[in-house]
Amino acid sequence: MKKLYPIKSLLALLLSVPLSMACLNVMASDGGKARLTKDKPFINVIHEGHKVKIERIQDPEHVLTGYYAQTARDCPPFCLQPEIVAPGVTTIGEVELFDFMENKLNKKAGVLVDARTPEWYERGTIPGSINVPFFKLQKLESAEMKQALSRFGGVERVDVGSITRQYEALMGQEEGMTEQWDFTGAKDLVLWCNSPQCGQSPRAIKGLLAAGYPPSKIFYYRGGMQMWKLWGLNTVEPGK
Amino acid sequence: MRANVVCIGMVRGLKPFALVVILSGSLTQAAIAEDDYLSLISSEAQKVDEESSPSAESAAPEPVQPVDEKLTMFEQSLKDQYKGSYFVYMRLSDTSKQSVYQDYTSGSSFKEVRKKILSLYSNHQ
Repeated sequence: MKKLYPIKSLLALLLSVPLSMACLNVMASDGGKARLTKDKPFINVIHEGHKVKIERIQDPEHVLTGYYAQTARDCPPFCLQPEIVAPGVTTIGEVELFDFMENKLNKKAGVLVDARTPEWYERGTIPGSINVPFFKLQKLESAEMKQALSRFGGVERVDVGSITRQYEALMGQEEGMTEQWDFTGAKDLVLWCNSPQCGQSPRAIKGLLAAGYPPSKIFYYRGGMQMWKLWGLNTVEPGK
Repeated sequence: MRANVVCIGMVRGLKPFALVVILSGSLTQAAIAEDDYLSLISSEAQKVDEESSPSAESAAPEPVQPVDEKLTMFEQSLKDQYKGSYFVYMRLSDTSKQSVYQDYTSGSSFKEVRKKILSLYSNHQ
């Protein structure tokens, strides 16, 4: 019996090598060990017409360095933002953002808005985002605001008859309707900026609300770029 | 209360011209504040380049380094002779890879190197 023992060990070893190799292969093709969620190793989004894979950095020794590792900013103006940015607007985290990307953004029923100024956007953005700087969402009558609202699925009400106006004045407007805009078919929006210390997306959200965009269709990713990077999630540089 | 009465009296006493001047002044101040905010955001953006370029920022590409021919040869030998070890080696972090290579250059045999690769890999599991 003793003589068989080395043969058994050898057989076990021979079997274990391909098995462990297969496991490693599965891990590699599955997006590694640091997954987005338990069920999602990665997700794909369309960014500037190209498919981009969103995944986490797999290096266990990776730490955040540079600008986004800083904990303090001058306040004012870079003050911590409240969790609830405005009544009716939902604040979300990364997991909800992944769901939004899969179920809304990829189906063109939602828009992911990088509300930072272009110079920030150019230095890297969350895949799938479009850049609509907050200052373009401040003035109700500006062409930039109208362009943005149309892009988000709002319809400008131009030829509304006097009878309709009188009826609305009497009965009240339908939810998602304003005197100037019809937001009933507007898309869900997720707005984000640099970090919880960033006021750019909160300003953009307030601008949208002032234009009558329904708060139930606005979502605030408060963590922004800092939290995105903290979890080792990849970014893209526009045009590259 | 007296102060309020005085203030109301002052406002009532103001000429329309003076009111326009005051209002336009406050609007200008708001515009300046907005401009200040934009310029502060702009100067903050420059810091991203200053502080992230020398260090290994997460998704930023690795800085270009001169190709170490000996390292390339070591990795090629490992790949040719010990595919399994090479497979595991490629999954190590850069720091761990460097440590393996340092052992090799300081005279460790492939047997010892392979043991080290497995040990580093299992330590991260």
